[in-house]
Amino acid sequence: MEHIPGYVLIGLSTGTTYAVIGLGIALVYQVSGIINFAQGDFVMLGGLTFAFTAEQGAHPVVAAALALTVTAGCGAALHLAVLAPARDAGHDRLIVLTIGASILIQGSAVLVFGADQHFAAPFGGDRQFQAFGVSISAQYLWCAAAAAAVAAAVWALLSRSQTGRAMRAVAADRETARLMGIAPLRMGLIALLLAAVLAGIGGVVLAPIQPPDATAGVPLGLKGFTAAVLGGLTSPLGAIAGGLVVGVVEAVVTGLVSSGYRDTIVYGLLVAVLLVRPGGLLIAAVRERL
Amino acid sequence: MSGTDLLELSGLVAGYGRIEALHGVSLTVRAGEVVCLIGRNGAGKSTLLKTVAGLIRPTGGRVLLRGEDISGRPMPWRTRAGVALVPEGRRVFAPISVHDNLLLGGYGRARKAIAAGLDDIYARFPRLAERRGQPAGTLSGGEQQMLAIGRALMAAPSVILLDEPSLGLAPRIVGEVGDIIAGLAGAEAGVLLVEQDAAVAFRLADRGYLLDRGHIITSGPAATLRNDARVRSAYLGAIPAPGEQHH
Repeated sequence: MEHIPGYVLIGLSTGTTYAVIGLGIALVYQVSGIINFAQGDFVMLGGLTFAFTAEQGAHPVVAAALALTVTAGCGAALHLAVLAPARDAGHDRLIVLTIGASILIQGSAVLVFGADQHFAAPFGGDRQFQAFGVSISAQYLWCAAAAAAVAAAVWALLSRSQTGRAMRAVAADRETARLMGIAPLRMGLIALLLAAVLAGIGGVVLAPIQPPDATAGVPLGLKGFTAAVLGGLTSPLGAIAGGLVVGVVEAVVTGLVSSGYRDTIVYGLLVAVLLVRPGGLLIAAVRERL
Repeated sequence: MSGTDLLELSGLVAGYGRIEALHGVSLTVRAGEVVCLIGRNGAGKSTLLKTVAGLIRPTGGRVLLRGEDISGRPMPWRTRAGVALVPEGRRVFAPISVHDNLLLGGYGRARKAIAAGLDDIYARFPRLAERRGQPAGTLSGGEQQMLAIGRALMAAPSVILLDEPSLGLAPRIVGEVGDIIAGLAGAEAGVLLVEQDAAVAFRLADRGYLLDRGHIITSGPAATLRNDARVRSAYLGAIPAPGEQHH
């Protein structure tokens, strides 16, 4: 039991990635009503492009820029080539289309990068720090900083810019938003583009800790989805909090019970929330703030 | 009253899917006028407003704005060209603050124009200024109607379409909203009003049209229309007799 603070710290560290993924899922769901199950694959794509390019000797900044460009392009392609043309299909079918996109992205990643893991060096050298009796890679500080920066940027966009306001208006009342001259499809594109870039950033900072291969995206996407559901699915702040909760639950279960039960407990949590509190565990606390 | 036709509908045919709700409607709104559109439920009044705003594509006829055919123009274009609809039920963005609702009304306009518009709206509706930080859903019905009108004005419209603005408001507030609507028509702007409260409609309107099952049955000055038997039957006797005072 005395190890719990350490497990919580580990959980918060891994949870930052789930938070970023969940944030993207919540943004897209809020604006388009679509649950994007390819969100985890954007993380994989960003991480893999980054690690692969860095292995070829590219400067990390160049590799990261390329990774974000690739994920952004992939997000835009998903919207323009798949979701927008099929917009009259109904949300359940659009969700199935994102699952198809997820499989397509994985297949393409195997073709381009091969089936093997790729490795990237931690930013600023391979260092560990000790706290509460556990040893944590310093790379997690980058993950946390990236998550904080991303959350602040999304908050600023939604609350301070006319585009962000328009996205919230589409979420609140699509038809009336159109009356204001807002094009909901365009807002959907911006949300998906943003979600892809967020995922790409998450993938880049995670790559040195969890060397990615083409299949790395699915479990990450599901945990991000769990994070978004915990936060009520429409709340960006809720998704961030949800991601941290998922990370902590995962780490505490691993530490106290066994890593074998980790995923069972996390997905059990997802099922339990969907059954008992489909509006999200945290929704009441955060609804007013956005 | 200037003689230019701000808005002209000619032979407008429109509906929802295969159900046709307007079978060739023609009417005009001039600058400086408040024109009311009267009719029973299901007569096609809301369909007409939505077709002018661009929410519904007409299948026949034309919508002319200052003489230019805008029937094929998309909604963002119409908003920028000066057509604004205050929808039935107000439809404010409930979780979004009053201030941000107003900013959304100016979507697509230049930053300076939005700032000037905001100053104007807050001067005109001090109550909205007091409540600028509140989510719009927490406002009273009358305040929400003010916000819905203010939001439409943020686009600096020349054609203001109002769908049942007094619906569901307390009688005291109806008068207040009526005064606001009376002030909307000006040198550059005209109002097309759909209103179920006959007393409000005829107090505000210069002219009116009676719409019945998708056809214009009669039209004329408000003072003449209010005594028309068909108009009175459309309002199911809810009209005060001439000379009777309305508060």
